[in-house]
Amino acid sequence: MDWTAIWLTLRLAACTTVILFFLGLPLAYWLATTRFRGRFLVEAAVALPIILPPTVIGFYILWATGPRSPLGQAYQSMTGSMLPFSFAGILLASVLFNIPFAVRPFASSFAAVNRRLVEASWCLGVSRFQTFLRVVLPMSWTGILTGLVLTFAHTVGEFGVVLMVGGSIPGVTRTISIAIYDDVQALNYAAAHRTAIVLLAFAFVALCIPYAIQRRALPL
Amino acid sequence: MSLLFCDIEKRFRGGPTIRAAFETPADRFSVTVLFGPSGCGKTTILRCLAGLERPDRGVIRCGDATWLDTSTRAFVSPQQRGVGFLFQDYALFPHLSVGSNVAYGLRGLSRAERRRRVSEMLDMMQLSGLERRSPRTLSGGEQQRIALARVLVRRPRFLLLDEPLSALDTVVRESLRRELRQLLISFGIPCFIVTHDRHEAMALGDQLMVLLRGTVHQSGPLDAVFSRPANTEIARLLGIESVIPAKVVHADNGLATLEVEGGKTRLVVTSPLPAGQSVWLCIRGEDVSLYTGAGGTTSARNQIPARVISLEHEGPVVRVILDGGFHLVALVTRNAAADLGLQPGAMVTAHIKAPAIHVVPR
Repeated sequence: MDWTAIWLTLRLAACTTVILFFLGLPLAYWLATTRFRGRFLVEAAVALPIILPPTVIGFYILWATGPRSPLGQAYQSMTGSMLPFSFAGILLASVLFNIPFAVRPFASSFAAVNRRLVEASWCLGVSRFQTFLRVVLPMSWTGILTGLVLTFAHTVGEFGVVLMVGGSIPGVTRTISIAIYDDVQALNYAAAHRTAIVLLAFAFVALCIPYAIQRRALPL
Repeated sequence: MSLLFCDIEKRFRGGPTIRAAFETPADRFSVTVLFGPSGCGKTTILRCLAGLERPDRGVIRCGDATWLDTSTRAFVSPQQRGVGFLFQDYALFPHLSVGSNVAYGLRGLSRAERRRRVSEMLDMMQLSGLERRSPRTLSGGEQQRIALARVLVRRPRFLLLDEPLSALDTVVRESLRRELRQLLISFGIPCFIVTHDRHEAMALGDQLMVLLRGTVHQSGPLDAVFSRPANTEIARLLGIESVIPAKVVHADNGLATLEVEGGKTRLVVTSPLPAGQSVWLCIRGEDVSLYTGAGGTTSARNQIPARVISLEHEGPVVRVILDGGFHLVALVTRNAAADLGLQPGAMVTAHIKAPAIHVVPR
């Protein structure tokens, strides 16, 4: 077993999940409650990674964060290192690539919260933010947990984007799925087998969680 | 005297424009009923008063405070208005117990004070012992009382009730009408109630505002609006031509004798209500028949000598406005009116069968 790759993968998945928890909740709540007419544009943008090939997203991230781009230069002058082929780089890629897996379950569970309950809370003198914490969150925890599990599991199984942005540097960007790819390339089928079966079992267990807690069909 | 002043306009795309202008005392108990068919804008007005809906144009002032003024873009949020809103489906928080639901809006109090107020409120609402239950497991009537308790425990300036009884089944609805009215009186908070049910309007209200297609068509004291609808459309909407305040003076085996308020006239109705009960009597114009001269024996228990005040022709029928010690309306055909020689000032006898009089207790 490639413990370095497993540890790296778990770190990447955990960081991605935490970041998307804090970024995804407000974005999802906005999507679920806004009356903005251009909402469909934001919804479509959020869903893009579902159908876009990982190579396309990876390519654009490379292009946007490379040494010739303003973003890449700004990052380099601030940190002294480059985003591509670094952990920060694959984390950025992974966050962007996983937005729909977090935001869509969040938003659909927020949208299912009866609007009257929110309004009742406002009329009882409770602020919008407190209402979100005391009414909306407790009533949509299944959707939030689903989003977090999907994000985590999807990050663990991510391949294309990580390969494009991170390459395969052991301990830095070589995740489990890339380790399997390298093993197969090296005709080391036994090692590939061991890692693949672990991933398969993990993916199945992870998917069981949202299906078990949700009575509604999953929004993905 | 502190007033609630409201003059608003709200447009809906593809729907009617809702307009409402009225003022009511803000510091004295009174129940104002917003009455009208569904889709006429009653609930929208209520939501505008609560701050849940923003009118396109207008002003809402409560005492010295301006809640809304579209010309200065002033807007006070629902949180700051201090009004209680009772939703049609009660909107109880399903993830909280009955006690937590009632305590939900109590902030800035010590824990002990909060607990004291909640248990006091639960006592008043006859909900003691249910504190730890989930509201989902309780009956519609209990849910309504929890929702009221949750709102009243904050001592709101106004109470807004959106179709408060429509979520209940018909059997409990009628008994809960009286209970709700008594409860509102005991708290003494000015109320606005939205309903499309005329009997509910009568049982709960003091003032009546009739809405049609988004506009307040008539408003005033309940019996005045019911007895003197401004036009035939409102009369048809109200459905009852005569609404008369009265009191039960004698009850006997399902038959009650009532005395009309401010007069000597007595009427017999079929009603199990006890003596002393105040009621509204509702009489439909088509249930009143008119006789001139001495009549023979009739099955109608109520024979009221009355003077014709005016006649209003509506196609084949004539609305005859009568004064029999109280305001009474009869609907007769054009031919009958001619045969009887009806004209203002003529004396007639109005016959009403006891079962034709609908009694609404107050």
